[in-house]
This record gives sequence, structure tokens and C-alpha cells, in this order.
Amino acid sequence: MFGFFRSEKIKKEFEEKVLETVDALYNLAMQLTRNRQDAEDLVQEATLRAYRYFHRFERGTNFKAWIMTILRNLYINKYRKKLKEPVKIEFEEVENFISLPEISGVHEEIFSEMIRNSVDKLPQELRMVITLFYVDGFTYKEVAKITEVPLGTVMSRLYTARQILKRQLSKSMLKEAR
Amino acid sequence: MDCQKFKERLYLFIDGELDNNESLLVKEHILSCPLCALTLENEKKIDLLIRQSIPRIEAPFVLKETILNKLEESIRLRFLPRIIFQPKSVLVSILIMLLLVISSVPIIIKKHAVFPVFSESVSSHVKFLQGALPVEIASKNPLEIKDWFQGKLDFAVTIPDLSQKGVNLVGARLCHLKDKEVAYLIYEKEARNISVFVMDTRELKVPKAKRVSLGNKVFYIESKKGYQSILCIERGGDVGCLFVSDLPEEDLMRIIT
Repeated sequence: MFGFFRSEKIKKEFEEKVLETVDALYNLAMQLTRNRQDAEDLVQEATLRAYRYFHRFERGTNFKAWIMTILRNLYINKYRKKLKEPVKIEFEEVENFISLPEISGVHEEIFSEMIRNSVDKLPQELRMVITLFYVDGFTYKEVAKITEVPLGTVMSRLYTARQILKRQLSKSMLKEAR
Repeated sequence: MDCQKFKERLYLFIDGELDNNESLLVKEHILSCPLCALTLENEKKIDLLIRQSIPRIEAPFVLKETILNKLEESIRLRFLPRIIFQPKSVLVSILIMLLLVISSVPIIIKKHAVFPVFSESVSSHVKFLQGALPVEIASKNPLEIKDWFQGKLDFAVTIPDLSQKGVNLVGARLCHLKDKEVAYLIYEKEARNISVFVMDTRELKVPKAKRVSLGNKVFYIESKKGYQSILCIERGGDVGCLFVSDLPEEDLMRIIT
């Protein structure tokens, strides 16, 4: 009975933390499942699981990273889908990148749209790293922990994703310049 | 730092992943190398563009609501069995039950305790004889007295008609037998008073007394302090009459029956 009241307090703490991270969870879930309904289910399940194991969460550490790791693991286990082994992604190194002009107004919108489309076409493991790094602001180390890959892999995935996006951007800019 | 090393550290520098020492080396290099400075400038612009362009999807409001509801539900389901089966909770539950039982004991005792109906009625009869309980309505008319009690008690007062036995109504009043409010009727027979207490007998536990059944009526007969008491309760009835007088038992029974 006393446990119930203690649990109420813990629940409140958990709820606050979850509401702060639910957008990030949903973002990651969308990147993984690419489907609204599956993403919502995944976030719900991850949240309940995180609550069950909340006593294991070390206070003072990054809650967002912790719960996102749960979501990612759940995705792999629950959906019985193995994240693809890092595939050899062919990309051309953009060595002599054109000097970027000041991008503003209409151009900014065009390039942004192009990047959004390109991100969407990236392989899942690159998309996940890009999202965790750019959208959620995790460090390399945190991304490595969440995705359960070595730090070097995170760096190489991020590098690869950037090269692909850069190449698309370069193509798009040349097209615009014509 | 040369240009190759700068290239290797470019993204680490932009991403803030270099330690202070290496950051300083990068900064020193770009001050001395305009080409690398331009590369850094370009990469920073691209980085910003990517950062701003990647979609940030806000979780639907409904999802937030569902999560909170499911949390609530999971807590209920988790704690319901625990509250019932946890040893600590069992102890608390037992204590609460004990408290409830203890607190209801006076009510139970009160409800089921024997009510000293004979001694109480005799002492009221005596008080009346001593003038301590004067009538509140003096009337020989049973209907008038019945009317007078209307609304004063939460049971219907019946006025026994004993006139055929030469016993006449004198008056009536409200009276308390302990905490029980009753109708107190005073009769007279040849200058001797007969008290009749009309009361609700639904929860009345009658003390041990001589018990006589006649037809659908039960009589409890008791003698105290030289006074005769006969309680008459109709089977299935809610209201009983208790007669008290200094008449002998047989005479009083003859009047009542």
C-alpha cells in the first residue's frame, strides 16, 4: 500500500521525463518503422517498458538516451527485424565542392526539400544516426550507445550520410545554377 | 597540423567532438591556410542546412494522452494484486479490519444488548406516581390521544382500549425508557394506576422473563420492586405495549387479554 504512494511519486517523475522526450521517441520510431501506426505502437511499448525498468535508470544520466536505447532494442526484438548489417554504401567523395553561396529565400527552401528527400532515401542505419545526431543532439558516444555500434561506426555512418547529402546538394545546386 | 590532418578532423571539429588541444590546433591551421578555412566555412553551411532541413515530427497529441492513460492502467494492474497479497499490506489490511470491527462493537452491542425494559418502565411508573412525570395531555378519548402523538414518534402509536375491563384512560405523555422514546399512556382502575408504554419493538431484546404465547401474541411477564410488568408483542408486529401496575399478575393479564 505504501509502495503504491511511492509509486505515484515515481510515476509523476517518469511522466514528466517522458513528455519531454516523446517527440524525439516518435521521431526515432518513425525513422525505424516509417509508418505512423507502428511508430505510435512502438513509442507506447517503449514507454511502458521504460517505466517497468525505471528503477534501473541512473538518476543524473541522460534519460532521453536511456529511453531511446529501449525503443531501439524493442524495435529489434519485438518486430523481430534485424537492423541490416552495415551495407557497403557506394558514394562518391565530393572533393572539390563548389563554394557555397549565401543560401536564402527560395533557394533555401529548394535545398531543404532536397535534403529532406535525400534523408528519406538513406539506408535505415544512416537515417537513424543522422536523426539522433542532428535532431536529438546526441554526441557520437551517445549515438553509439543507443545504436549499439562502436564509436568508429557512428563516425563513419555520419560521414557517409554527409557525403551522400552533400553530393545531392551539389547536383541540385548545379541544376539551379543552369 | 597539415591539411591532411585537418581534413581528418574536420567533422570532429564541427561536431564539437575534439578536445580543447586539438580544437586549438585546428583553429591555428585555418588561420594559416585559406583553402582549409574555406572548406570549413562551406562544411559549416552544409551542416547547418542539413540540421535545419531534417524533419522533426511532433508526436501526435493523442499519443501523449494514450501513453499517460496506459501508464495509469499499468500501475493499477501492478499494484492491485500487491495491495492484496503483499505481507506488509496484509498486515495493514488486518489492522484496518480490526479497527473497523472494534469501532463497530459498541454499535453491535447496543443493537443486540438486552434492553432493561422492565426495570426502566417500573421506575417511570414510580416517577409518575410520585408526580415527577405529569401527563402532557389529559384525555379519556383514545382518538384524541392518538392524534396528540401524531408526528411525535417515528412509529404509529396504538391506544389499547381497556374500557370494557373497567380501566379508563387518564392522559398521556412522551417518555424515555433509557434512550428509547416511547408513548406513555396512563390508565386508571378504581383509583389504581396502570401505566402502558407503547414502543417500537423491532430491535428490542427483551430481558429474560416468563414468556407466554396466546394466539398471535407473546407476553413477557416480570415482577420488579413489587410492580407487575407485562410486555405484549404481536407476532410480526413492530409495536408492543408494556403494562405496569401494582395489580397482581393474574388481574393484569385478565385486563390485557
